[in-house]
Amino acid sequence: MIEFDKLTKVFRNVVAVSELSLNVDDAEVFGLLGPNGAGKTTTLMMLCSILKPSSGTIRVDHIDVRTEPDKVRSRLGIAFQEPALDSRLTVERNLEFHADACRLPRDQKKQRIKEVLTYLEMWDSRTQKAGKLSGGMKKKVEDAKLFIQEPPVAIFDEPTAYLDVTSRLKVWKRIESLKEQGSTVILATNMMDEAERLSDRLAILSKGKLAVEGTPATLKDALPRGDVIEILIGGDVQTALDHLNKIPEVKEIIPLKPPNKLRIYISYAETNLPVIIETLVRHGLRVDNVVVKEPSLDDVFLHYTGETL
Amino acid sequence: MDGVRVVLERDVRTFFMNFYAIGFRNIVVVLDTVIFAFILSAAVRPGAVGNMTYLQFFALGSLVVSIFWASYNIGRDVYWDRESGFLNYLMSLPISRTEIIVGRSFGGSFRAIMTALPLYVLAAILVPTTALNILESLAVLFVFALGLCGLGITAALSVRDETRARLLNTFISLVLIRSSTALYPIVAMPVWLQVGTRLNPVTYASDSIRSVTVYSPQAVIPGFDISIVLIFAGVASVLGSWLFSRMIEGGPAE
Repeated sequence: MIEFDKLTKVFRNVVAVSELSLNVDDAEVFGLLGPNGAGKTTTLMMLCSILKPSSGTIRVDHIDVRTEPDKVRSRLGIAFQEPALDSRLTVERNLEFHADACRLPRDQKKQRIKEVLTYLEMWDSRTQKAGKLSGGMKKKVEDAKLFIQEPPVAIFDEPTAYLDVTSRLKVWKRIESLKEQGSTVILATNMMDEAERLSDRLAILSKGKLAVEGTPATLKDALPRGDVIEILIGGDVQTALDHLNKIPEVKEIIPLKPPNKLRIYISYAETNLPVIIETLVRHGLRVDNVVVKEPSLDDVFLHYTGETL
Repeated sequence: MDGVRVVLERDVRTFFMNFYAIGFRNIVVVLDTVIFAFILSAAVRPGAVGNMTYLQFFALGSLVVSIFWASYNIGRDVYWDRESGFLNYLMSLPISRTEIIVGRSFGGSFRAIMTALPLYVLAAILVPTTALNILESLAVLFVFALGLCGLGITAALSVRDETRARLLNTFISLVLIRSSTALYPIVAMPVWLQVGTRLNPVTYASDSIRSVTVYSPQAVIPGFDISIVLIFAGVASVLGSWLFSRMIEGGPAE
């Protein structure tokens, strides 16, 4: 179990993380979501004892990160957002370095490196220098470190950034198997589909603070804004906004891209859809496309972070 | 100590991937000795550099200069590790901070010794020496290199800007080498510079290397010079370790 208790980090006058309290259970995938600058990476850096908290505590299996950082680090591994590879060494040497640093037995080391690189379709690139790899390949090597290490606590910071669809699915599957083997996984991501697919529970951080925490399903159910209608209109967007906002059932409207697309949060979408279309048409606007949706994790994210699309 | 081995191994591997740099560095030193020191030795009056010629004096001093560059450069590696995020990765591993700094210092010293090793061929041609003298000399240089690694890491972690780091390194190297007895004798210096020279650890490393490398039946171990080298190594290593564990703390936020 990982316990964050009133964790705070201040850089000079900037509060990066403020009074964060969270519990992550054993063998669960815990998603950490938040816009850029929300404090996700800072929180993970403190968990790995790379940064010292300004106040508050983190305990991993009841061991305090501040007082026994070496003991905590022996239980965890992190795959960084920006791959941390020695560009002068080959892919294989980088992974051997990681395996050696994590005290993996020699026989397991060779075998696991081969198995993981083959799985990620990187075996043929093992002799290439890390500095010569593409962004996606570097990311796969970064993720491979944890697949080889299989630590009790595996921390992934944006594990599928730069990856193609096939590689992304492979990494997801591997993260799922880490969990099945008993590892606790912390997943920091900005990809809602990734968080929704992998996370048992998740927390959304906003401006360094915990905005909300729960399972993806409970967070969606708890949204106060009801159903979602996405509508593509022809004509003046401001006119549409003015008239649609007068409909009592409409709770919120967010303009999307392209600029003539609107996301409307409304109760009973299917019942109220004709009212919306009728209102737009009556004011000389064209309705080009309509999609009625269940609220997604995107909506949860937008609701709790106050971000707009 | 497993962590030290892992960190050291990385430095050894990356060192041998950069073989041409070692070769080039040694060619420069050999050319310096063969051309510059050879010509200058005609202008140096006999006895000015003790009981050796200026050519011999320069060749042995070059060993110290070579060690200086090679080991001090570990600081540059640490700087780049920090800039590239690799340092954060190192610190996330189950390796203690002390193991990291000791591993890097040993790695830097190993690199330095390997860089200077071919120059002993030239030294052996120019001065009377034995295998034992060379071993003693290498031991002193290794300790000195540990101190330089500490100094290089301290300098690298003191600045966050590449240009400033480069300027600081050039300044420190210039001051320490030029105000020492590595390349010219203290008697040739103005009095004000002699004061600085006597406070400079490079002076004591150079003097002790000249004493231990040259074979002489009446040779005595230069205890004072070696003690200063040891003190320098201890202080610089502790300073480097302290700064390493302190400066990394304020690492980058998101």
